[in-house]
Amino acid sequence: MQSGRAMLNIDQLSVNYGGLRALDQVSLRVNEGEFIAVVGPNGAGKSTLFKAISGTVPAASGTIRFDGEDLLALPAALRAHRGIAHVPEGRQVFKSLSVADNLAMGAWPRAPRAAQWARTLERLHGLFPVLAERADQLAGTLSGGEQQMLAIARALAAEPRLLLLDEPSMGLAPRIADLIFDCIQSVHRDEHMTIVLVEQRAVEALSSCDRGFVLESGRVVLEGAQAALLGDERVRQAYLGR
Amino acid sequence: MSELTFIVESTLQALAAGLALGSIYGLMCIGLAVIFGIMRVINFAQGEFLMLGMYFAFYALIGTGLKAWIGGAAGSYIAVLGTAPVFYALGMLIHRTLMTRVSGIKVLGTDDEGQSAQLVLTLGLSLILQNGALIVFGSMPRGMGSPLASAAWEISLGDASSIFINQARGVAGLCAIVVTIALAYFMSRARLGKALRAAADNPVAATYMGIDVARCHRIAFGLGTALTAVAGALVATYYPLQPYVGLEFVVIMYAGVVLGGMDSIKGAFWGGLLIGVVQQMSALVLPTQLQTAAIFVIFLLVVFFRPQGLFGRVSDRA
Repeated sequence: MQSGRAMLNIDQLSVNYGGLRALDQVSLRVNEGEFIAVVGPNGAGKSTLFKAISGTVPAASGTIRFDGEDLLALPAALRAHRGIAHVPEGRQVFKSLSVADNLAMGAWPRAPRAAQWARTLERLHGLFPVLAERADQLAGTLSGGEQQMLAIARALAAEPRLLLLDEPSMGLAPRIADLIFDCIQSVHRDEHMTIVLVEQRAVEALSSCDRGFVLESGRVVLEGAQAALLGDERVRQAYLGR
Repeated sequence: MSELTFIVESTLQALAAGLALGSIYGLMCIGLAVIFGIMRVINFAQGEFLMLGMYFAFYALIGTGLKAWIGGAAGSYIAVLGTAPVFYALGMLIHRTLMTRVSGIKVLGTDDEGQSAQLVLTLGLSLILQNGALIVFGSMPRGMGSPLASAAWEISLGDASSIFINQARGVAGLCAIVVTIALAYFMSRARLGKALRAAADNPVAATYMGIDVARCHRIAFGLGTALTAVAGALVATYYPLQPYVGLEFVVIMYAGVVLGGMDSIKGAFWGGLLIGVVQQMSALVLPTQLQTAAIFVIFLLVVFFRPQGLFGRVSDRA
C-alpha cells in the first residue's frame, strides 16, 4: 500500500493559534490505505494539524487537498461529508445522548437506511461489544475507556475514507489503551482504512504505522518509513527512551 | 351543600383551571427553553414573540375575513395554526440577520461567550418590537371574540356540585399538550432532533460529524419563536391583547424555565404547568393581587432546595 494514490496532501501549511505559530510550513502526504503516525511532544501542534484538516481552526497559509479537492475552501461541517472522520482529543462524546444516538450522529453524513444501518451497527458492536450492552445508556455515564471506544465507533459509523485519531490512549489505563490500539490496527488491517494517528505513546504509535512524522514546535523535523524512524538515534532518545 | 363538598369542589375547580392554564404556560416556556437549551442564548425578546403571535392570530382572524367566513371558533384555531410556519420563518430570519452575529461557534471560548452582546441585542429587539407594536397596533386592548371564551364545559361531580372549564382555555390547553408531545417526540426520535441535541451538547464534535451547527441554531431559533408565538395565539383566543402583554407572560416564562432546569425542554413544560396550577390554587386562599407572589414563593423554594431546577442535571459545563 506504500505507493498508493495520494489521498491527503498538505503543503506548506501554517496555522496561528492563540497568537502563536502553531504550525509552520508543514507538508505531509497520506496515501490511500496507509497508516500514518504523527508523534511529538505536548504543544508540538499535533492536534492543531487535525483541527486545520477538519476546519475548526483557520489556516494562515498553505493548502490542504483531499482527493485533489481544496479542503480550505470547504466549510468545516462539509468536510465530514467528503469522508473525513475526526476522533478528537479527549473523546468529546455527546454526553447527554445515548450511546446508540451517539453512533447515529456519527452516521450523519451517510443518512443510512434501516437495513444498512443495522449492518453498520453489527460491525461496530463486533469491534466494541461493550457498546451493544450500553446502547441505551447516556454516553456521559460511560467510563473513560468506553467513551474512547464510543468516540472511535462514532467516527467509523460514517464509514469514512480517512480516519483521524487524536491521542486515543490519553488518560486510559495501559490495559485499555492496548485494547484500543489492537482495535485500531484491526480496522486498518481488515478494512484497509486510511488512518492518521496522533499519539504521545510513541512506541505503540510507531510500531503499528507504515510511515511516521515527528512534529516539534510546529515543524516536521523528521519523516520516514517505520523502520527508519525506529532506527533513528534522535527518535530513540527523545521518544522511545532507549 | 356541606362545607366539605364546597372545599373539594373549589379545589378541583382551581386544579382544573390551573392545569389548562399551566399547559399553555408550559408551551410558552418550551419556546424559551429550546432557544436556551440549544443555542445557550437567553432571549429577552421572547415575550414580544408571544405578543406578536397574539396579534398575528388576531389579524388572521379578523383582518382576512376568516371570522365572517367560518365563524369565530373554528376560525380562531385556523389562525393559531397559521402562526406556526410564519413565526418559524420569522425566527429563522432574525437568526440569520441578527443572532448569528452574536452567537454560535465563533463566540465559544471568548470572554463571556457572547452573553453581553446577546443581552443587548435581544433586549433591544424586545424594546423595538414593543414600541413598534404600539405604533402599528395602538394601545387599545383588543380581543378575538371567540365564542368559546365565554362558554364552559360543566363536569358534574354528583350531588349537585360540578366544576366548569372555560372552553377556550380548555381547548388551548389541549392544543399546548399535543404540540408539546409532538416536539418531545421530534427531539428524542427524529434524526434532526438528535442532531439539534448533539449540536447543543458539543458543537465542535458535532461539526466533526458533519452537522452544520449554525443551521441547527437557526432551526432552534425558528422553533423557539414559533412555539412561543403559537402559545401566544392560543392565549389570544381567551385573553385581551395589547402591545405590552408580553411583559405579563415573560416573567412566567423565565420562572417556568428555571423551575424545570435551564437545560430541559421537558422540565420547562412541567415548570410552566406548576406555575399555572400554583397561580390558580393560590386564589383559593390568597387575594388575587398576591397570585404572582405565590408563584415566586414556590420559585424561591425550588431554587433554594434544588438550584439545578426540578429536571436539571448538575451541570458539568462550569
